[in-house]
Amino acid sequence: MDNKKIAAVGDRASVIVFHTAGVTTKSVDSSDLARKAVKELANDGYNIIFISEIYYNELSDLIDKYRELPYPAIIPIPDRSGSKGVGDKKIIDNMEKAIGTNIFDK
Amino acid sequence: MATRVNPTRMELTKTKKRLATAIRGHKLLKDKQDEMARRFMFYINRNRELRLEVDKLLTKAMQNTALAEAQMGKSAIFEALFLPSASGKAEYNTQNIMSVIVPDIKVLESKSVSTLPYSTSFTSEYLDRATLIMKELMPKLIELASVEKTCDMLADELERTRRRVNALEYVMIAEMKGTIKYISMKLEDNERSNLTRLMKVKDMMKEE
Repeated sequence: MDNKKIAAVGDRASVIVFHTAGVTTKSVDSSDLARKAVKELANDGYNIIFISEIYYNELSDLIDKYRELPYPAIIPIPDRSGSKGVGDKKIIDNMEKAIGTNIFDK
Repeated sequence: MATRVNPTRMELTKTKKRLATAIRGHKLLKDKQDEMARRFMFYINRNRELRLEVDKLLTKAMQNTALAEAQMGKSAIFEALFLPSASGKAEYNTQNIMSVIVPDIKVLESKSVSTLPYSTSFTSEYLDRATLIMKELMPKLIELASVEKTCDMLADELERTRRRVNALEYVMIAEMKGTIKYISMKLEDNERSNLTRLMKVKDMMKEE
């Protein structure tokens, strides 16, 4: 197993930093391209796909398809303008789904 | 309210057996739900810690890269980052948490010798910062992926289990208890009317 199993999808300026970690990067500038990239990566057997927050929400229907499978794990990451709280929201959503209420402080 | 069934002894025995099974199933599912919730809490807390850290550091790394790009130009930065410094080597397995198959990713220790994979003479200081941050961050990113996916899957399964537990507790078990009560009352009623009839017949025979 090697780091070819990890990929990052997002706008060029945000994903270029992943080069230093030897991660496969796909720079996209529209949600259609992002969708295509994620599909390709998932079919190629990538285990972890990091995706920019802005595209994460737009691709939620595609991402839901992989929800039941252990791999690939599709994880939202912030872009360089900072986090917009997609990751935090995901945690709170999961919490509410599982326990029925959010027991973390807002 | 219980569904109307034939008030026979056979139906009563059958319903009692089904009730016993339902109660056992309910207990098992409830135990599963409790244990899963306990595991979930552990993962979601870790998820939250990692998410805070990753969001902060990754943004910083991206901003530093953007500054470096502004100083060095696109192609130069691409060249500098041609060789990876941190390796995201990991072992990808799955593990079974309460019969949910979740990813289990182990980050392998990277044995990179040099800290920076490029010559520092022509590169920006910002790029150094970004590279060093990423080196530190990569294991955390991989762990985050593993933990967050686990939380996703556990949350889905917990929701399903909770629904099943509730359906058993408030619908099936309640309904069967109602049916049993209905049948036994009906049977007792029949018994009484039978008894009265017998007494009546006895009286009539005495009069004759």
